[in-house]
Amino acid sequence: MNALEIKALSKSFRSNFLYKKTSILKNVDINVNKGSIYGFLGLNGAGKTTTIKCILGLTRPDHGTIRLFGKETGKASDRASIGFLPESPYYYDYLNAKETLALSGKLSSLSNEKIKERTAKIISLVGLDGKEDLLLKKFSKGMLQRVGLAQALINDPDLIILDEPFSGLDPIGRKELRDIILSLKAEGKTIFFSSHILQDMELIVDDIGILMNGKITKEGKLKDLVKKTIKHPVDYSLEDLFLKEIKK
Amino acid sequence: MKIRAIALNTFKEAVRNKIFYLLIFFGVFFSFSSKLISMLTIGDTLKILKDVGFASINLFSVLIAIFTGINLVYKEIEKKTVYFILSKPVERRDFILGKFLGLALTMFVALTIMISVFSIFILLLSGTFDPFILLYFIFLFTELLIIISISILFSSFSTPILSSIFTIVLYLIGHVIWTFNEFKYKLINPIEKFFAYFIYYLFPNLEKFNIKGALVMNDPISIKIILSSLAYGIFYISAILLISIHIFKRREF
Amino acid sequence: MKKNTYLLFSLIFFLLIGFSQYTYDLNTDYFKKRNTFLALPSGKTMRILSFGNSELVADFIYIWSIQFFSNYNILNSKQFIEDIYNLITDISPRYKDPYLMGSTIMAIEMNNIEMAVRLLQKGSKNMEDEWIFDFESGYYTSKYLKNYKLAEKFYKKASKKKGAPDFISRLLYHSIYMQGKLEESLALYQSVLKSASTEMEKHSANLHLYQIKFEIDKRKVKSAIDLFFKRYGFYPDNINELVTYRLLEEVPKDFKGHYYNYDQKKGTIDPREGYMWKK
Repeated sequence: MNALEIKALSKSFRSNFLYKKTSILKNVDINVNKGSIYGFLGLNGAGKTTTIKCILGLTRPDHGTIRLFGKETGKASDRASIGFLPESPYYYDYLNAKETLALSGKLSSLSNEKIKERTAKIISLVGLDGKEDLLLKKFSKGMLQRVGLAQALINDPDLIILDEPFSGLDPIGRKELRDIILSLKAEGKTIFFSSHILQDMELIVDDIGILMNGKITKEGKLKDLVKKTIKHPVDYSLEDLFLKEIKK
Repeated sequence: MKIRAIALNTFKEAVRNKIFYLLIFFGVFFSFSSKLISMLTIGDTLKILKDVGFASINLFSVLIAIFTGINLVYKEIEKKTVYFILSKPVERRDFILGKFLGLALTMFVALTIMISVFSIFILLLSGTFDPFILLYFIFLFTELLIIISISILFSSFSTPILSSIFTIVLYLIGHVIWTFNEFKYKLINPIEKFFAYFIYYLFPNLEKFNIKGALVMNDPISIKIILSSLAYGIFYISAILLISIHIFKRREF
Repeated sequence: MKKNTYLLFSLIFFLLIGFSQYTYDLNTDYFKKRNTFLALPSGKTMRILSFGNSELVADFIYIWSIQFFSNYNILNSKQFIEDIYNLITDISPRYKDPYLMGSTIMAIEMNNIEMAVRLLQKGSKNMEDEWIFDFESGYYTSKYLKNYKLAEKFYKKASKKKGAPDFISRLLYHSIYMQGKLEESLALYQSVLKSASTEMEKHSANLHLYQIKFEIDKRKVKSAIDLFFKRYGFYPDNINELVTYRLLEEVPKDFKGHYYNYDQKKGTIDPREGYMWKK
């Protein structure tokens, strides 16, 4: 059973009701295996964020079906098993980290005891120890990203969706985030993340999908994809593959 | 309760904002300045005192309602914090209701502060406490809830500047719509007549919640009027919130 | 030194500001007598434009009107007085002070009693349970116009209202007396005496009754004496003669039961005691 299965997803937008519709997604198919790390690649404006918004129900797709753990989505309660880290780390800056996590937990219908238990665990996991009571106003971008990750993990989700998690992080932060993602995988979680920082992706992903102009042009195991086109086995990398796709 | 969590969070946001305190301070300050103005009159100074005080409480509570109402809803969308909430297992309906209840709680606190401070002020100056102030409180609160629901409606699909203009205009229309009574009976053409009645019943009639005059003049207000006004308020708020939920449900981010 | 340059320049400008204001003031007479022009919208328009704050608008116009009418530099300020007070009382028909203040200015300062009474009667119409408007109307008509008949009407209206003080009914009886309806007022004052509770009230009622009785008797005796004079060409020696000649039924006695003094030279009677009553 796949953790996430997207079939023939298309979406078009009209920026103004006088303009013609522009297609963002055209028949996108994505399969994410349970317990794997899926890297979702694409240029800016390729439709990565739109795809994620469709999964979360923030936008309604024109066509296509989205299945979560075999069940078709559509209701709010389906999101109970998802944790989401938005691309831009905008949170309520008048709250502190603890309050943000508590709010996040309450919105996921967790009990107060459960919230307390999870908060203690997650704060040390994302490395926010000693900063729980600081208002988010005072946080740097890297620290906000940690808060974002923490709020996405509060409800112990099975599928974790991360939108550009590595952007704006320093090398140490990226290393720590990679470790967190790997540790989540070790717990049996499925991680779906979009990024254009290929080096980080290459180090951790199992599968990748490349989204180009609203279409999935390549999908599969990273090892297979990189191997298939291999000519110079020593230094062929994900980056080469991606650049080749762009040039097509 | 998810609605409660959203409501409390909204309240927290309003209360942790300095503008909230500034507006309350000005409301209290201007209601105190009524003492100064009442010195200029000849005759009943208490009337002037109450008129100026109630009017300033009214003005500033309406300002708080319009600006926090629009600000807090639009900011969610503009700053994308709405992703944070809507990516959780939260119904969009719960978001609107939570926002409304949070703003209602905010207004309740602001109004309680202003009216109780002013009542104590009046009590110290005149030695009398008018229990009808409680009725004034309930009526003004209902009016503010209508304004909040309207501002939520507008900010669910429009920009903050447009929303504030719309809401202010609707507030002003709400206080003059009673003049339609003057000419809606004079119209003969059925289409014009229908149009006039339509407008009359569509726009909020806020003047019925304005009992400042009756309060100051000690005019009696019949229980029928009170109940029908409150029922009107509840119906109006429900209708506006339902439309807001409808629009917000279809909205894409 | 350098960092204070801007401050220094601003100080110079402030001095210049002060100087130019001073020269302006030297050439301006702020208190010169002048005419003014007023254009006020109607009361209904103001009520609509106040967006639910009509009481406040009424207050402000009322306060402004007090300042306006106590500014004696405006030559024609009184020209608009009726419009202004009509405006205020249109906006807030149940606000008492403007009626009273307006009518006071109209009556005392302008001596225009009709206008004052018009304003007061508007108040009486708008606040039907309030006695003071009719009382003041009656007061002005009796005091300045000496129109006791009209005053009686106003006092009667005022005395019937809730909370009206007792003195209004006494003013009403006085206005009846002043119209020369002596018998009617005698009966009224007798009822006052009956219901009087304090010594002061009793004393006052007694004085009135003495006076009224005296005037009734005086009128009676006078007509009898005039008839006597016509018939015989001289005044009678005493009152008893009038009874003897059947011009009077009996010799009148004053309210205390004493006979009056008779002045043969003038042919009139005077009260025996030094009762005086302001008239």
